[in-house]
Amino acid sequence: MKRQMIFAGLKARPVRTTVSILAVALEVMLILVVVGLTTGMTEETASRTAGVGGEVMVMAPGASNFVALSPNSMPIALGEKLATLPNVKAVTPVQIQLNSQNGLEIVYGVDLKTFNEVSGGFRWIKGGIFKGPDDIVVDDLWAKSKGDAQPGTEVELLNHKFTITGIVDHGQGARVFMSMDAMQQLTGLAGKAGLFYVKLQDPKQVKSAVADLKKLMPEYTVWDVQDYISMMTSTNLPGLHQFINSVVFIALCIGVLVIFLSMYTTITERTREIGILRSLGASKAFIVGLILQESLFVCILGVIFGIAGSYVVARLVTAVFPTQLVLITVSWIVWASGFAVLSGIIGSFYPSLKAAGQDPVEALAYE
Amino acid sequence: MKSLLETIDLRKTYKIGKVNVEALRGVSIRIRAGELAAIMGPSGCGKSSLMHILGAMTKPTAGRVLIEGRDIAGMNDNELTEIRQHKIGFVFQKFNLLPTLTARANIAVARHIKGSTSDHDEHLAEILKLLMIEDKMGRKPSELSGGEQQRVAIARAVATKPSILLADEPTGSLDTKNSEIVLNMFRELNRRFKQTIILVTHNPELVTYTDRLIEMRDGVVVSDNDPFRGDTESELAHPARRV
Repeated sequence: MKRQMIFAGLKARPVRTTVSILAVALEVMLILVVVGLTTGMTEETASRTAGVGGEVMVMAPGASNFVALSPNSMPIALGEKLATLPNVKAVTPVQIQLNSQNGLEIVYGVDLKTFNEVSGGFRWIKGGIFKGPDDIVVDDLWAKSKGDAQPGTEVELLNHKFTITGIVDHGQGARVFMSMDAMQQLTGLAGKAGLFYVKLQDPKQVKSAVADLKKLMPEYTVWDVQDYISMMTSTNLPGLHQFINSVVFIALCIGVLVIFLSMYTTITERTREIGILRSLGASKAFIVGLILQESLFVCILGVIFGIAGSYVVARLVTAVFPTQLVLITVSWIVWASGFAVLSGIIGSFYPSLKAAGQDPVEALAYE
Repeated sequence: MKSLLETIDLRKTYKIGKVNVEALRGVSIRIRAGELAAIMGPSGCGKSSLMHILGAMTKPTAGRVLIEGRDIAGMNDNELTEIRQHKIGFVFQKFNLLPTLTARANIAVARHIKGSTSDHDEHLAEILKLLMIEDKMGRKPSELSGGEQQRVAIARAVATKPSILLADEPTGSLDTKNSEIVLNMFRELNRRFKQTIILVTHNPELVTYTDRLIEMRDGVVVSDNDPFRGDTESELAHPARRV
């Protein structure tokens, strides 16, 4: 019977009901899309780093957790020394530049021979390897983001014109690759690297290998790649965690305020109805329960639409920006749903108490 | 004959700004099970205040109100709610049906609030037949005429088998023909189901449908043709006859 009353009440005010559901859906979408964008960005970067194939990463002393911001200050010769260590199968140096022209991406300057030893080689889709200083190889998502660029297309990066010679499958470090020589010419940093990828003879010995390297080079930053991936999550990265918490808090406030306004207006309009129910013998708890259940129903519908909408937005973002991944996880769906329901309960609590506390005689006389 | 409802020196004062308005100034009446009584008086005589107190919607300022022997004057909100749930049925001048629900659902809400799990039974079937609204159950109030709405309201009020049915100006919003139909139905409910009914009205024509008239003026009872006046018992000895 209560369900019938709730449905009838919501149906009788279709615009208000729709707006309330949409507001809750937006609350959910705000959380899922923003968290999805940050999570997608960080975790996709981490997985590409792991996709190079090395089990260990060595970076300069005091290097940032963000590979793109690592200084290219290590001598390339260090890599040759690392390669002589026991349990080291191959080492490849990488010089890193962050391109902010016509987009934002990491560009790797690689030594092709050692890069292939560590990674097993590029997974080619079209074209072939760079030959000259103005040649680059790009991944498929980057090519798609540039209007479906093909081998032979000219592009501008790092204030220099390049020609795409090949397109590879994404997931191996950067999205754009050039030869180490070409990168060093561009940056003027001859003989320098920002990062070494180390492939081990026995990947199971990665912990001891990392420990040995740290002992050998205490001032350098040495990462187990799997630990690096774990660190590069939106909840572990300092600053990002606070950003996400702020977004969630704002979304929660929006949800509370919208539901509060909606329910407050609803109970004002339904003062007489509430008076009728009270005259029939409905208790205060009945009235409170009715309002809370109505708001809960709105929130649940909002959650459903919000989750669906988030996936639609994620698809849209990836369609327009192929290199941007929006990662919507089950855990965040649960969190966002929980926050939406909580905001509904908080928002409708005061209106429901106000409704229940109305004097039946006054409520019946309300016009 | 045993009292179903009794008031003893009932008083009700409203505070409007700095002014105290005495709506009831010592009302003592006794209603017995199965009676069909009218409380009549001009506007402002206190009859609505009396009805609200008898219906456990508000508490008196002083005095006692006994419903089936229980004094409701000192009850808290939960206790008054329980009284309304189980003992009182209301019919209002403006029908006061829930506009978003069908007639059937309006009646079902009242039974649900009382705790009844069944939406339909023989008693309800008889009521609907008596009130001639069996074929109107699927309609919403906006799809019913004034007379039909009031009959649905009556059905809602009696479907829970209340001890007392209170009707506040039940024909106030109806035309003459529908008023006559509704009043005859009250009489039939009283006759067939021994439903105790109190009609509150300012219209002297309604009085002809009732067995007893209590006249009020300026917050006091000025006349009462109680056929059992002088009966001193104020507790039920036998259960009220009810269908």
